[in-house]
Amino acid sequence: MRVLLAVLLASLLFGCSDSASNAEDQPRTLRMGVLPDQSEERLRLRYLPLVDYLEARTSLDIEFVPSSGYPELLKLFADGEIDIANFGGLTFAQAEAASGAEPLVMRDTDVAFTSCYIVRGDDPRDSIDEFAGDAFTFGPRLSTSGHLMPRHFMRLDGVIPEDLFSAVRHSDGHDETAKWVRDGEVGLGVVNCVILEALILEEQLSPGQIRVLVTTPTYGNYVWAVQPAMPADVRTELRDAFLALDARVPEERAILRALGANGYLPAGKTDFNDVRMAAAELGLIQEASAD
Amino acid sequence: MSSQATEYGYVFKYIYGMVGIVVIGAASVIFAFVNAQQADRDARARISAFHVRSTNLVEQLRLENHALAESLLVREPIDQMHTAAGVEQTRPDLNARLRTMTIQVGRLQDLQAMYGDAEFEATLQRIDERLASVAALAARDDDGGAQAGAIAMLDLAISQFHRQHVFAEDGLLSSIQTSLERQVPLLISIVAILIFSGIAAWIAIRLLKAAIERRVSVEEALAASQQRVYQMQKLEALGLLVGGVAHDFNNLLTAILGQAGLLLDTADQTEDARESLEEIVEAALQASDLTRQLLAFSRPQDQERRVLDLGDLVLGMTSMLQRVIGESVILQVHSEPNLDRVEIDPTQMRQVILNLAINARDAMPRGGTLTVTVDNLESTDDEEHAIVPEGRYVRMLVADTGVGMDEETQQRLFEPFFTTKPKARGTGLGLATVHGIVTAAEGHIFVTSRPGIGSVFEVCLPASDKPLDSTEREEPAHEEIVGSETVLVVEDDQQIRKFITNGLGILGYYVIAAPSAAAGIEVCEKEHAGIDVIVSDVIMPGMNGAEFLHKARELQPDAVTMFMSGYTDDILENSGIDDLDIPLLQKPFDIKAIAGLIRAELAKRDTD
Repeated sequence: MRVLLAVLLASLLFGCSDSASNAEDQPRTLRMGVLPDQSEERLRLRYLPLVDYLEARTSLDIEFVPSSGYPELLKLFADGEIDIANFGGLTFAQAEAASGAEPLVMRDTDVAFTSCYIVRGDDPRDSIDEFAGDAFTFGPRLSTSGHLMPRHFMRLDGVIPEDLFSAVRHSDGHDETAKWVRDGEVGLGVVNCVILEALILEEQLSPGQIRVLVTTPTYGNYVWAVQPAMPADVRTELRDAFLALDARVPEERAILRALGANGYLPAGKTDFNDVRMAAAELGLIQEASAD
Repeated sequence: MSSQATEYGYVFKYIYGMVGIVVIGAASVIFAFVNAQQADRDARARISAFHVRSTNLVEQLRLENHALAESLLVREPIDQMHTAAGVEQTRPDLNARLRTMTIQVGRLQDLQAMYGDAEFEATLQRIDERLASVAALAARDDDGGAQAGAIAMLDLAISQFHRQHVFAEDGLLSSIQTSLERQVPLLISIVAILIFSGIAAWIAIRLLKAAIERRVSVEEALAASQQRVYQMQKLEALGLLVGGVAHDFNNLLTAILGQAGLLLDTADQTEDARESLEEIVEAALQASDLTRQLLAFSRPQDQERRVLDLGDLVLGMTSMLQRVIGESVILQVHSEPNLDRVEIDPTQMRQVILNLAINARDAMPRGGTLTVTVDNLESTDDEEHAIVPEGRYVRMLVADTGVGMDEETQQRLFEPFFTTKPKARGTGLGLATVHGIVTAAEGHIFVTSRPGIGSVFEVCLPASDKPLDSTEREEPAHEEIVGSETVLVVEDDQQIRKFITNGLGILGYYVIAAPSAAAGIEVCEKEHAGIDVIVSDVIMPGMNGAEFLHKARELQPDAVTMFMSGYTDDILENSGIDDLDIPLLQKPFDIKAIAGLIRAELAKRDTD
């Protein structure tokens, strides 16, 4: 009976200790990590206006913490070296599985992200099936929009790319995929729709050269995620600062432009259900979470 | 159950009461727990409903906003990529839409105010501001680009609000799940503790109950044992009292019988006087019989112990017993073969059996069965009869199927003059005598009885290792009792002294009477012609009989000596007469008895 009582008391105390410990490690300085998809210099240029904005808008000091690659970013987050990070869909799923990362906000475009299957502008074919026997390219292997999600949705449609196409390739980036399609190296390719729009807007591609054959269903992609132990008031403060970014205000418009966003929306775990499932299918995370 | 058991009954009541309180307390805890759970769920359900209502309102607001945007948004180049050609734009009633949206925002604000959730405050404020901004631009009929931008920002704020609610609700459901996941093990622990405590309490109560029952049983046995000892002590005290009374009474009877006998022996009596004297003698003899029984109860004195087979003795009495108990009672006698021997006066043992049989007969007025069983009994300390010391016994069970006895009767059964029989039928001395005889033979007697079932008397006599006496001794033959020898009678009781002096005088003896030992010594010193017989009482004031005879023998070495006494054995044991090996004449006696003894002793002296 004593043992049971001890277990009971311990469980009660343990139940209380969770919330008690939260208050202690409230960070005065918040360390921010981002996806190292550009050089550190460019990353600083891109993110420092946001850092300044957040510091002005909140009571927090923000420290920008660069990382050399995706694995280091994940490790820094897992080790608690950074408090908030901008993850891609797959890296978020991995950070969530490894250290319980919790989604905070996403760009408006990220909540209903799509990948675009592109063909040459003069290609008359109307469906993916018609490209059977042709060469096909994904984006990089660990790209959420260029590989993970397109393959996931293909699988849901019962398509195995390796069986359907004569060759399945992986480009080093979305721009390369677009170029391979434009130049006829492959008949069909799949790219990040936002990047495709940017390529067109930047006139690296002209609308006539490339045609969007079909887009994938929507899925959640990039996300600002925080440590699970971050206190609720800090979290709310950060979230509200992101959500308040207004494109009509010139300085804020510049920040949003740099980040490729029209504005920010609250992010939830359910936004990443598909990504989580896709990552689990490819064995990139242990097991898809229940939610 | 005894009083101890009643006390323990209170202990049990306390224990059960405490267990009851614990159970009620535990039930209250569970009730409160479940109640709190339900209240928690209700509260969460209300908040969940709030999220749903708020989300629905926001959804409507967004639809309105989208419709508003449809008419104003300028197509970007990328949109043209998805649609073949531009669609004719129709300008909607902006003011009507804005009014609807303002009302919807108002509802949202009311809803928020009702729940006071600060979480959504900033976003709701943003919606309000951006709607005002759209309204202001619409009022100015500003350029479509600025309106489209304002509508897009409003749409963003609406989306933010919408998603906040969706996630808050998801989080709520998830926290409910988490809460349940935490609380279910807690509840299981509580129930497990209760079950465990219940089982532990049950085991503890059983153990305690067993311990208490053992204790009660020991205490009851002890109480019964103490009761027996008390009974024995009471009977012993009664024996002393009765013995003393019977002794004095015996002396009187000896005198009465003696004097009456002398008168009867006198020839010149009228017929009437003779009849009266005979009635006196008869009454005195009955009284003598009564005192004999009293003395037998207090301590049978004239035991002639012999080593015998109790089974043979009982079997030998079968026909006599059957006559005593009558035809309506069936007699069964069983005797174990190879019985151990016992040492007891056979006459007295017959009296024991007879008294028990008569008692049984009286207990079975409508007939029944009387069973007498004799067997060997090996007693050890831990057996049922703890009162019987360890050792070998021969046990006689006398069982009847009669009316039985209640507890009180059983306790007083062996007291003299205690009887349940009608006044005319019982003296109340039968079982007292039995008790006296058995106790004198160092035996034990117990009774077990239940009203309506019957009674069993259990007589345990110590087994003897001595060889069996072959035949019973014959009563010594009465020789000529007349004589002319000189007899010194030392007796402090004047009546007895006179009775003996007269009686022996009539028989021809020359009797010198002395009222005390000192007077007797004086006679011995003076009587140079020689004294043939010295008869002395044992217990006398001053010098007692033993001391007197010791000295008298020195003065009159040729005299034969004998004692007479009305006291019981245990008193005589301390008087020193055992050391002298002198025959003892038990009072009351008649003159023939003393004369017979004198003659026998003289004959013995002469043959030596």
